[in-house]
Amino acid sequence: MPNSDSPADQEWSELLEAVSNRDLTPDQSQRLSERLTSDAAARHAFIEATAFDAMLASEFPAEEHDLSSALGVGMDRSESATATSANAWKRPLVIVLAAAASIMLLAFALRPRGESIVATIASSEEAAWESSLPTTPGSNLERGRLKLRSGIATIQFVSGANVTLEAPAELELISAMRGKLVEGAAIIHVPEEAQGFVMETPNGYAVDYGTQFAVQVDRKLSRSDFELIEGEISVHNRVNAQQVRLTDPHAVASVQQEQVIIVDEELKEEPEIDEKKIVRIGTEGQATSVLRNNKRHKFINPEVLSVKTTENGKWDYRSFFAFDLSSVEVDRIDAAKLRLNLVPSQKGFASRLPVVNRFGVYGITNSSRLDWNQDCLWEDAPSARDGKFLGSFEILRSQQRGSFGIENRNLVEFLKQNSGKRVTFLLIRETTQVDGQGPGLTHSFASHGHPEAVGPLLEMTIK
Amino acid sequence: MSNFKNQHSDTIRQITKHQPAILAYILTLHPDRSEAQDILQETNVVLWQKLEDYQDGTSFKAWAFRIAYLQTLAHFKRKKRKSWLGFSSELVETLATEAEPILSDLEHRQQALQNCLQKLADRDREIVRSHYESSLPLADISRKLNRSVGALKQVLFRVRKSLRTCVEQSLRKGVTDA
Repeated sequence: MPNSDSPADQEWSELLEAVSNRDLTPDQSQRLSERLTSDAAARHAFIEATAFDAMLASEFPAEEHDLSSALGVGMDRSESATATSANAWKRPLVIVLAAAASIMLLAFALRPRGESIVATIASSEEAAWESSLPTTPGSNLERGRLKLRSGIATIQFVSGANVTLEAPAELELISAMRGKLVEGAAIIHVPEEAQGFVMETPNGYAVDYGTQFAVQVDRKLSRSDFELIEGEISVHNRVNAQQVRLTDPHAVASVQQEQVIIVDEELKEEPEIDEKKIVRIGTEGQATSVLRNNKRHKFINPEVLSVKTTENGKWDYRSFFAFDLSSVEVDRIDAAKLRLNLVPSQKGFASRLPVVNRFGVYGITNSSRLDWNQDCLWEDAPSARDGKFLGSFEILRSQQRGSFGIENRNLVEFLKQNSGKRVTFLLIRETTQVDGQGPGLTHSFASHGHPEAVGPLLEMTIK
Repeated sequence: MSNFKNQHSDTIRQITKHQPAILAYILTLHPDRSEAQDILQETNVVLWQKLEDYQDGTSFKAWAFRIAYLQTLAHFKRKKRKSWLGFSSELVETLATEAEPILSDLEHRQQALQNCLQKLADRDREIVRSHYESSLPLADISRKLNRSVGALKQVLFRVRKSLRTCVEQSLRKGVTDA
């Protein structure tokens, strides 16, 4: 490697050091540019120096660049711990090949920590969000997830790509050129300058070569449908790298498990009719709240279910409600959802709450606590100790309305274990509040008698 | 289909093997490590997508460099500026052409560098790691490690110099276990 230190003058060494240290001043940038333009030996030395930086940077991948954690695939801990410089670069190769993962994952794993703006919220029509990112129109968005509860919103990526989301939907912002629709439906418009924009779904992704396409993700069926509206897209299966290219307007490709299928339009028009049906049951008035001081007449509003947890516990509320399963073919339940509607609370200040409030749902198993009545006392009412934790959900403190709840296997199992019986669920707030003079908000969910919103619902998909 | 599959894993192998070289190439054109990583990611995606354009038998690396070059230009265009350092487009093109032969034996150098890094004192290696694994400015690292910026610069200067000497020596001796 000759020449690497020539031209060997003081200014030049300083310039190269500043490039490597990433602290060039604007004046230095100017000088560097001049010297590189006029001096071939300088260019050679500069290329050598940046190559050396690249090699060093490759030896110290940031955590996020670590493929094994990004892929979550088999590497035992000891190997991981000793993966020092000597094998840091070989490791990704082995794992990529072992996992036969696509390069998309490699690319994702090699992303640097993103601190920059990825997108902005261009417009919002009655949009209600559940997100840790800002959600007002015009807000700049960094990497992260947005959950649209209701309404329609348009997200403008910095690259120019434009995504119109329809609730309920969840979108992950990955980079200016990449998003992931985790759930729901969206229409993506990609102008010329953003060609190559990638919209991922849980099992596939589409690369847009200009203009417009629509995506719909059905998580339950692990299926993503991509419809070309205009232009050209390629649709890929993430698992086996199978792909198809769509060029005919309104062509639809569906990514399901092992395949990418071009869907016949005639078939597509038929709604998905299968043997599944959804059964919804309400509490029929079997719902109430308790508070620690038991002053029910003064503080319990029968139209709502109140939930609150504080550090000192003095003003805690918890709620419970029951469903009668005797009319449901519980054995044939395939999926179940417990739905609760948040309604504006009359009590306390939301500003005293943490930004994200978490709620826990328990299925009561202690048989001596199953015969509660509407007027029962705090001490006699079912508590978390009397049941099994089934799941939790989160509500931002800024949210006053919306549908929340849990949907998981725990719930299905719990229902199956109680076939034909009356089941009781307990709702508590797991997070507390900022203590001080003013009271924190008591969360209110619609109960059976609420004038506007529906009370707790159990939605079951029956095979 | 099996042919496709073979090509598939072969491409992953090729792309993975050449990551440091492609990154080096991008850094030459755009010496900002954080953004260069972004461009590398985009380049990887394009390499993958344009797989069918690559012709067996030709240099994969040359092909990858070409795509990295185009991606870097696309990045500048998106960011609506010439380059981070205000390089003219002629200069970027010249650097792109001249970088290719210089980066040809990077894999051997990378092997040698790995061995040389082992010889560093732990304290020095930590400083090098802190600087190269994140995009934090030196001032932040200085607070984190409780060392002055000047001291960090001295260590980095000294270590880079000794590593380069070490790499050159081991390549001359042919002492790599590649």
